[in-house]
Amino acid sequence: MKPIERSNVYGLLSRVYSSEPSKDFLESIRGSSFIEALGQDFKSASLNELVDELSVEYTRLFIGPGSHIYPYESAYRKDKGSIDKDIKNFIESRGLRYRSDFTEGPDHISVELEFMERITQEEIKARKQGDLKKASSFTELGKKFVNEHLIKWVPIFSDRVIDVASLSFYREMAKLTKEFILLEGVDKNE
Amino acid sequence: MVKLTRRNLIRLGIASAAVLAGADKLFGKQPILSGKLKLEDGGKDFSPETGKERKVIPTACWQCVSRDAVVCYVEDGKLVKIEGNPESIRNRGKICAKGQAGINQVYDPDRILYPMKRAGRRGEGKWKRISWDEALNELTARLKKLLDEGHPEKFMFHYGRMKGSDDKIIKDNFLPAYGTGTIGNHTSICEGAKWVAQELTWGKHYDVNDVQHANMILNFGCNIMEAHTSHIQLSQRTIEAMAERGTRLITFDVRLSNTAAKSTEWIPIKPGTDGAVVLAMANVVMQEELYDSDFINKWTNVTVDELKSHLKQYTPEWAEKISGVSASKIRSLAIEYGRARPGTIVSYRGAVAHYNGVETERAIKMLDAILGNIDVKGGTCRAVSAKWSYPKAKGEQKKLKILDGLKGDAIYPTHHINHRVLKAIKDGSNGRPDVYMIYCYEPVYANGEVQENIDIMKDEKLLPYIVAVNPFYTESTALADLILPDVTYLERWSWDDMVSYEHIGEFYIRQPVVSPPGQTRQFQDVVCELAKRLGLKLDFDSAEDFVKKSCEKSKVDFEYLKKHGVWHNPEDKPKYKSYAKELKPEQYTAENVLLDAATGVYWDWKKSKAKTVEEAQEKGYTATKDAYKGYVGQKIGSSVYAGFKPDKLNKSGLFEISSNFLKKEGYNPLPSYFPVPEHENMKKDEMILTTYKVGVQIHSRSQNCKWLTEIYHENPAWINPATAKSKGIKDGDNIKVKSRVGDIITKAKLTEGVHPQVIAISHHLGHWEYGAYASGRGCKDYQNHVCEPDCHNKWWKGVGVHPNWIIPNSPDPIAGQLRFMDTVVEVTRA
Repeated sequence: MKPIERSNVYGLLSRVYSSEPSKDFLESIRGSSFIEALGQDFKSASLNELVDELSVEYTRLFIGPGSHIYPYESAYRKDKGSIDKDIKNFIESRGLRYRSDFTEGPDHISVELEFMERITQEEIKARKQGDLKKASSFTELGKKFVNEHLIKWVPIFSDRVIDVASLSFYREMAKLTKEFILLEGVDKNE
Repeated sequence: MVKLTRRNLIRLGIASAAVLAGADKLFGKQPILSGKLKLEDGGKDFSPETGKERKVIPTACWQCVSRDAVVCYVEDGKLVKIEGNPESIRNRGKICAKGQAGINQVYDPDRILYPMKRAGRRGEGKWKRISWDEALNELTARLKKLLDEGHPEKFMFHYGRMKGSDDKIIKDNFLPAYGTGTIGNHTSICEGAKWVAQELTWGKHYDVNDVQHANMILNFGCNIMEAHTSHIQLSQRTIEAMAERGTRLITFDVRLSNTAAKSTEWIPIKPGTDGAVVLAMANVVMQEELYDSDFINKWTNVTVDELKSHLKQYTPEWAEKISGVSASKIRSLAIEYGRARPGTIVSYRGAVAHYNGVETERAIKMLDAILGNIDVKGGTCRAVSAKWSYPKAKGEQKKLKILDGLKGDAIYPTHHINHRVLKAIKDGSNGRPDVYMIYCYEPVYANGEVQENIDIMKDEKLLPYIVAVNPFYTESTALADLILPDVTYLERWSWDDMVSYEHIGEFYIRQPVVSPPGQTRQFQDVVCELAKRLGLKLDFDSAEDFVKKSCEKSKVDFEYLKKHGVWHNPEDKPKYKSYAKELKPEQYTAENVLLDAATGVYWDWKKSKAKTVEEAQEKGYTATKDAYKGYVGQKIGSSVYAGFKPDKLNKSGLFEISSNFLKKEGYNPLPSYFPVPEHENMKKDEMILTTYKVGVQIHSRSQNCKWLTEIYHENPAWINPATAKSKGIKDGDNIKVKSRVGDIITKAKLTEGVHPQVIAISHHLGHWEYGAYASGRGCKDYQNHVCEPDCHNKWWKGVGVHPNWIIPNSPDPIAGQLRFMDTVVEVTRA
């Protein structure tokens, strides 16, 4: 995959997990070739119904109350004691700041995906400017982050979503997420 | 459907570009991260191992009602440790296991982080996350409608744990400004009978047992070392007195609690018969001439002769037949206690959560009174606590007459009958709330007859709209239509005023030690916004502002409290014998103060409900509504004393051993014994269910704390081996416990530490909601535990059983107290 494509997938998935889908987001997805991957119920439902149903589904899957799937790396990394703090420190030490009204944990899946989106964007920018050394440093940074973090938990997280989701949207998005991260973990220089 | 292959992924990468390119914004997603991404370290530096600054922030515990002063250690914005605040004169640097586990409340993986709107049927568990704006729009519309219709009382606010400024903001400001007086509490499932008994005798609760100076302590049905409303204050002083001065602690209990085990002597007693023993002891004290005739003659409303002749029917032999405590033991303890002055009697739910609980507590207070142990050093004292001044709103409050349950439930339910409120709502004859808001209150779980509570809460015809304010997804919250996520006590602003065992008021505050997660908001801040939306005026605009303004009004330094957590006036001395303080003439000759000839009470009639001075004079102190609010002092001989200030009832300023309030209702005015009716004709194989608390759990609000639930997650029923044998029950057998309202299955634990007629099952457990640790649900649904880093360490499976399913919501006839310890059950092998 080209860096721009990878960057876009990261951006898209980050949106998918960040909150309930908005109407224009769903509309845009339905207008793209994505729709083929997202199942019949996604295709045929009315947009307003879909926004409602997917909001309840998102709440049930990722927020609760009650039993739900925790979209945080720290929940999956039994070997690491303070992964949430580590992620925050790592991201902040690279010059980025969390939005002041961001109320999820610092190791939320959409943060990690957005961080990768930012890294790939910088990589593209450096390459455009002809700074190949800088570009490959960003590539390395991305590789490190994927291999030390995303690959360690996102496939397990995705499997749970695939198991528990009752609507095709999140199930298929989770399949995509898993495959994409596994792909990211092995080769990114195609 | 397209299969997700790598080839397709590449196509999807292109498709993603198309999706993202199609919009100028990210479909409602704001970027989470800002700033310029760099390759090198910079900006903030973090040492992976050392050099981390730990901030120390003083605040106050709120796991249980004891509300001790604590200090919190915060590292990188994370709360890592809680200890007792050594500057506190109350808990003196000590806290219990529950307090230390407060960290688990903050980091409970199952906290509710956003406002939630019901999406499926009530109780189905389907929710939609909504914004605060949407939530408050919806709630405001409903509350506004009731205001416009002139029915603010149809907004019922029902609270469980709400104290200090949290309470004042809601009850003395928001609700009066709104105009509803339909305010439910939860005292009748705690110790309402104890408070009513005290109001009948010496006025305002609480009582503080001055154990650290006592020569002997009697304990009727209180688990001093594990529970009690002032657990850490009382237990450390009790142990100190025992260890350092050899003070004897005699515990009467149906069960060998850890308190009984630590006591000098444990005396097993049949449930509901403590009153008989106390009356017999009082009889012995009178017969042996051990009484304090000065106190009786001057400060009570009875004579020595009246007492002698009333009490002589209660012989130790009579009490032995009723209670099972031997007559010789009763006699010797009475003499020993009578000679050990000062002494103090501790009592709690084991003694008072019965049909005859009010009479038992009255007898207990009488025994201390006739020995002159009242409000003296080392005796039974009236509580002293910090006197905060704070902003108040005034307003007429209308209320639905459903707070005291059904007609005829009790004669003096001055603390209401909360366990009968749902029944009153079902009955409907006094109206029903259109908006029922529960705040840190668990009507489903905490009351008896759980199934009926669920059925009523689920019925939208009875309760059209339920709002739950809670940080956690509790059994009751699960039945709401709207959930407003509150913060925990470690993220809130409040001041507090729990009683002080040093008899010096301690001012203390609660301040956020970490920032609230998600979109949780302190409800007291939310009501400030609600008030604005409803056009109501409050004199403060946040919980923090209220604390600041209260500090100004009380002349306490807010900045000092932020730094130290606690403050008391160094000039203050312990206040003993406050009743004997003589009033100055200008105090009782002030304008509007009348002398009531019948009682000798001076009272300010303007503070009562009397409309004119003539009306007040004609009706007199006792018969004028709310006259107690104007109590000034008590005339004895030619002097006027502070006396025993009344509360909630127009009692005189004397220590009323004889109660006209009870006489009027057909009871013996002097403390008397009557049995629990259900215990009179028990079949041979029936047993009495008793419930109790353990040291590492709060009644219902701590089972989500993993450290506590790891320690205590199973509560087999205690049965005496002799009883078990007769029923063919062996240790560890499954047993069925059946009452007239239902049955539960649990395991038997055979122990000599329980009365043969008693089956004892603790509270706390058997949750079916309240998150993964409390309910056992959640984590186990997945192959691997996934909710937080520590979750895979959950090695236990059990969640225990909840006894309240089979306890009837039955009130005692005087106070309306839920008779937790009276339930007759059949116990069989399951």
